[in-house]
Amino acid sequence: MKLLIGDGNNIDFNDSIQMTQKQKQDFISFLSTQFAVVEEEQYEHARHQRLGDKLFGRSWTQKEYEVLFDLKDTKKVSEMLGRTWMSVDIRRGFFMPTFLDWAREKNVDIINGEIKSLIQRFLKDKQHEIETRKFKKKQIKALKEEYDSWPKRERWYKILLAGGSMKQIEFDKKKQEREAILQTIKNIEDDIES
Amino acid sequence: MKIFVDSQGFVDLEAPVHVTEAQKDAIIQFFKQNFNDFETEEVQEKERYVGDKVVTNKRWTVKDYCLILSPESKNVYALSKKMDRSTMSIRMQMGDFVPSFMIWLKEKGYAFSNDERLVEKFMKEGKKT
Repeated sequence: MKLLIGDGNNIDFNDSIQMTQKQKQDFISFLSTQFAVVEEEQYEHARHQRLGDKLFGRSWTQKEYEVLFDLKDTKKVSEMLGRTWMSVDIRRGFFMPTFLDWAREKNVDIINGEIKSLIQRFLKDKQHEIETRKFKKKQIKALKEEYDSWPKRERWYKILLAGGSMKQIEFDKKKQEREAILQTIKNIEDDIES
Repeated sequence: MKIFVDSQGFVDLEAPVHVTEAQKDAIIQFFKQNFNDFETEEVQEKERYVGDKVVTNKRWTVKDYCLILSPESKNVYALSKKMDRSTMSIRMQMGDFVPSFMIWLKEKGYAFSNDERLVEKFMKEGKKT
């Protein structure tokens, strides 16, 4: 097995590793001594791209959110979660206004109250919002892919047009649909930010 | 972090993990002790391209910090216009300044507030420069 060590202080496997049940348990137990949140999840499709191939994003779990809002500085939280300080900073920045607003609305003491249970209450209240945001982001990604695939599709439509399998009016409609995608993306983005 | 496990017993990281030097050394040590064929390879990571946009660094004032602590912070877009700063700049300060300020308030035994005098005191004590 090979461990990839990046020049930006990230690590990765060069491929998934076959482990015995004991090795897996030892590995997860060991990681739990280094990081605050380690969760096992079943997967079906292997990850083909590795450290150095692209920039990676990692989803945030409920338990990680609990650490994120804990009263600890950014550096400490980034170490606990195995994430960059910038990733922690940005994620905190996105949720902090909502958290403060929620605390004002509920009239809870976020400084001297039991922060862990407050965070859990907040996350429970906001779960639907978080799920909706995730769904909308997925929608944006799919729409962007559709928008970016236009040159390839346009070539194909022109072949169909030349062969008589597509009418000019249908082709124009496809072009209009493509432009509408941009507006839809903007609307969803505005919706997420509002 | 998530550790992916498949039905064949293959284990993988969900994505690369950011580590401190101490964490990296401990991980290497763990694999050396538990896997015979262990080796490491140094790789160059992809960098995020920021572009050629000129970024001006406007100093954050006590009043600015009071604003991001106020109920106005609910609408970051409106705040961005009011403060003439990007939404990202505001969010990043919220992510960094607000938790640090809250830790300080707790240490000092204050309640949450966007009182200018408190923010000023916090800044003077060198918690935030």
